[in-house]
Amino acid sequence: MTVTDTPPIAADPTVETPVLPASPLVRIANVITTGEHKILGRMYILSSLGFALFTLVIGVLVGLEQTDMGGVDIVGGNEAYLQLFFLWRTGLVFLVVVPLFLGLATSIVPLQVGAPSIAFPRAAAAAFWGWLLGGGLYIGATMADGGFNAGGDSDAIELTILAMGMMIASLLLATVCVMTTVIAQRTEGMSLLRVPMFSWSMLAAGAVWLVSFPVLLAVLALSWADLRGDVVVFFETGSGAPGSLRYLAWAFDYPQVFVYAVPLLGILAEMVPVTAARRQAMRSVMMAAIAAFAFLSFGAYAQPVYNARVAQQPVFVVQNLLLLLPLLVLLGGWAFTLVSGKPKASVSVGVAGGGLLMLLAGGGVATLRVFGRLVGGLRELGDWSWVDDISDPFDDLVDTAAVAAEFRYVVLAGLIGAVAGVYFWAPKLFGRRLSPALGGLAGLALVGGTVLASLSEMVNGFLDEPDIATDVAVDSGVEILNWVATAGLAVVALGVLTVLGDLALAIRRDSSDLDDNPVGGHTLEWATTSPPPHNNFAAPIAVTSAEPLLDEEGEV
Amino acid sequence: MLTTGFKLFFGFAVVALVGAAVYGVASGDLSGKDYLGFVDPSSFVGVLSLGWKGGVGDHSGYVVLVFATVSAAYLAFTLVGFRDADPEAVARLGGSGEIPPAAGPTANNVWPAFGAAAAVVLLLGLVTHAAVFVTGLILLAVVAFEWMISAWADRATGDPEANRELRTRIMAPFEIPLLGAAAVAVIVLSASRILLAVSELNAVWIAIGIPIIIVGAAVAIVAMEKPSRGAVVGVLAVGVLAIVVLGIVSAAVGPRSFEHEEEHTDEEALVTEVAR
Repeated sequence: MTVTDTPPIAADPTVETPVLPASPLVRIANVITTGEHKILGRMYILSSLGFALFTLVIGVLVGLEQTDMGGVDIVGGNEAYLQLFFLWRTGLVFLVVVPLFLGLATSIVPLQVGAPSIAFPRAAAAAFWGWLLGGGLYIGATMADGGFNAGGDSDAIELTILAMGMMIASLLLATVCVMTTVIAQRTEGMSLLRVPMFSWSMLAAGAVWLVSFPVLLAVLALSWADLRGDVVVFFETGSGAPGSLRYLAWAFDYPQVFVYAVPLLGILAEMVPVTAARRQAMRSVMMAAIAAFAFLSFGAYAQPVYNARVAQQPVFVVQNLLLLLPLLVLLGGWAFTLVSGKPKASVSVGVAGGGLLMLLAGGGVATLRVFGRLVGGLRELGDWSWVDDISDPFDDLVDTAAVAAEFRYVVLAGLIGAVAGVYFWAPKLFGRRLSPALGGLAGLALVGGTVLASLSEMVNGFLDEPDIATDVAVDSGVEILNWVATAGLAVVALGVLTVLGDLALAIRRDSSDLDDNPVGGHTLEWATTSPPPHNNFAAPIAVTSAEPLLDEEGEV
Repeated sequence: MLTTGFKLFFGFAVVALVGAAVYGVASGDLSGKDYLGFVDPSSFVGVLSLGWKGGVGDHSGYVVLVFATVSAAYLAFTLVGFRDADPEAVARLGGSGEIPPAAGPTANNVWPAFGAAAAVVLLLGLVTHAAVFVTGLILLAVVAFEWMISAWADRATGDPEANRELRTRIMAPFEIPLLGAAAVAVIVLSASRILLAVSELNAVWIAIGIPIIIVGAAVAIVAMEKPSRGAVVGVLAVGVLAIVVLGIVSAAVGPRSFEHEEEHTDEEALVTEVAR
């Protein structure tokens, strides 16, 4: 454009919002080409719940294989078992929990900060499609004899690595969009300390994702270069974890695994004050606790392949022991708010509370495993026989099924928290209320299944079952407990199926009487219609506190 | 203040310059170097001195990229000199005294989804065939260009309809011929696979039959009193789809076996002559 051209004209607020035409083909085209954050968020949520069902079925298959420790029979050999094992573990993080939280954030964060849209809406759309197609490619490549272990088809292994890289890069892009929205799109008067808790938790979690996922990408790039080059480093066969799984294991173990559940804390921090019908006490302390939990979850440096002694080093041990402290601070803050308010029971807060219990249990397992490291480290200071007596049972937990127990507790806690968020924000996400009865049922299944799936693995850890068990001699009782763990995963899958069923039923539900703020929320997303209009708000809203809707009601 | 136009073209100049440097080094003779031999500093001297002190690799590609750098840099500095696309300058000249607020993008955009699909093609190309990889690269370049133009057009005015027209006015002269050429290439390639896959006699029948069908369909459409747009598009779509599907199937089946005339080398001819 030159200066002789017509200057840009300001957006005309009277221009009507485009209405979706009735033709199904046009509707599909609109969905594919949309940059509307609410639609993108819905697509993330539905896709990741679909992937959750798939991943849990894979988890059940892997679990069934472990019910007979005499050999690998069900899935067709060790190679296939390891492929499915890694698909299950990576899938639960990168196909389910992280995108589920990003979906919620893509929909809800712009509403919470009073923005008309997400920052970089087209980058957000590209991130969604990149994740979805990359995820499909990842599953396809693994199923085509790929995966991360030596012995598979080399082309399919290459494709697995590249697809996982594409998926993670897309999730990083989505994270950047959400974080930029929180940092740069806040409405007038909303300082960072007034940002709603879920948005804050996404900012904190996103910051750690932003610095740790690129490390994962670098490891994948090295794996890929290694596979194409002459020098085989990552894909050697041998003892221990197969191939490059050893190089990626840090992303699925403590402390890094906890960062996938950080947004659960933000979701609960939104729900508790609403349930108590009062402002959150010590809000800035709670925000600091969420940030501290995210910060302490950073684990990209803890790579045993490059630094075999990292787990014995003081920074690692202290970091993992401190991890529970912010959770305890949050627990205290929420308890105080509930006690001093007038709490009303709700399905979403119950489900999110169940998720918090699972996260605490995961933290407990991590503490036990770190305790073994800590006491074991004392052994090096002198010839103290009493140290052995104390540390032996915990030392054994380091590479056992306790890893699986911790992973399941924490990552499934994230899934439970996200489902609670879907129920809480359903009026804004879908313009419908979800069924409290089905929500309660799903919550029970998710929490109960997680306990069965994780607790039995924890006991298996004490019985010396390795994390990746194929054909090994273990103490008696392991196989029965593996049946229990597998049943637990099946129950979790039923819980996800119930949520999907409820969403399908909700489409037919009459929503004409849906209130703007049916839950009595305190933050800006409840100040607009359900579902919100294009551009979210009829006019920009200025805020003077972290709970603008309570200000309107004159509450102190 | 650096104007939007300056940023765009200056960025392009930097990319082209880096591309020229990388291309000049990478297309050079790297024989005898180790795996990371291209980081040898002496390899860069020729490239950085525009060939004055030392050689560059492939001259033609290097020259194209260097000229792209010079052209883009010239445009960038011209634009900043004349304050083009500078809202402040526009406001001052227009006498309004206010900078008009930019409107956020409102129109739907297919390029993010296309970009993801192109990335998938690129990844598939990395493990299957170089041609697929190059196709992915081309698709990504097309997506980047289209996305850039759409992003500009979306903010050109506050009227989405005017923005759409503006985008079409700029892009249609590129899109229609290129898409047409691509469609012709795909049809020709598919038809050639079909003709190579079937027997010689059948190939003749097909070569006669297809034009008759095309002419027949065209006559039928012309003879219609009010041919509907949907019917014409439908007939064309079905025809093209049929040819492309048959072409893919034929490519998978492979060409028929050809009888080659025996070729004699000069040496064989000499031996025969001597024998006589």
